[in-house]
Amino acid sequence: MKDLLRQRTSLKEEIEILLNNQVKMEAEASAKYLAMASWCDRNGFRNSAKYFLKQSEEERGHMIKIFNYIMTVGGTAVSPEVVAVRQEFPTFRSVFEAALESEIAVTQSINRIVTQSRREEDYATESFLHWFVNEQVEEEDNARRAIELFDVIGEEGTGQYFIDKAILKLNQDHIE
Amino acid sequence: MNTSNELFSTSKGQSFQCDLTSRVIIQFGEMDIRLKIKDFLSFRRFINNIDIQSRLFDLSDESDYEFLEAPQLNICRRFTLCELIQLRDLLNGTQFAIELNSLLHQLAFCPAELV
Repeated sequence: MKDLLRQRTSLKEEIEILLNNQVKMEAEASAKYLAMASWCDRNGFRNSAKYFLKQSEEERGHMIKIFNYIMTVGGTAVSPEVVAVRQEFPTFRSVFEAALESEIAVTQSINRIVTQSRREEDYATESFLHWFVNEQVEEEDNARRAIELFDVIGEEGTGQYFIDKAILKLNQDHIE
Repeated sequence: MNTSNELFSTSKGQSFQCDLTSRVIIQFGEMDIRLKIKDFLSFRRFINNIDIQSRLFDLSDESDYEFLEAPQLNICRRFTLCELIQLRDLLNGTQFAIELNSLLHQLAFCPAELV
């Protein structure tokens, strides 16, 4: 009797499920950043809105990268269902705190898949995920530096205006 | 069909593997479908993801059935919750048999010194 599983892909079903969950998580992160961009825009923080729009695009890029990997290794990539995301935030600072929380959650999720792929001896997936491990270091750093601006500049008076200005610079630093 | 390639059977259905077409054949009630292995895995995952427990406690009429529509597989019918549980048994048993077969293949193809 033929081994049908081997004909399909070397990707284990459990890893395929984890990767598809990650696709969904990246799609949700992209949607969250869009909501943050919108909140910043309607509250007058134009530079922060641009920053979050760019972050949203990056998250979508991550989603496509994983989606494409699943297809390349012969798995079944599932187009994700994006749930309703939070649209309102109490303060300017809380938007960035939510962004950092989201990034940390993504990092932890990536780490879990790396652990699992190592356990399943799926070195191709582990190698593929290394890019994401490094990328998350930068993403978290971005989010942390943004929050630091609130402490360094302070929100009193024209503080929020200058924070918004500095956010643009932060984005450019990482583009370079 | 070569019946020696039977994968799994329950009182409600049977599953086979056709080596000629590399398809998994599921016979369940009036349903007779031939699935590529990828489609079989997705179908099984879909059936397993139906939250039967919450449907049992939901008193609305719609929760008594699940409508399955897969035009590619020529499936378009309603399944009662009992049927879903029986189908789930058949699919999970089939999956077990396929995985066991794969494991045996791995062992059979291993160089003797590594076994």
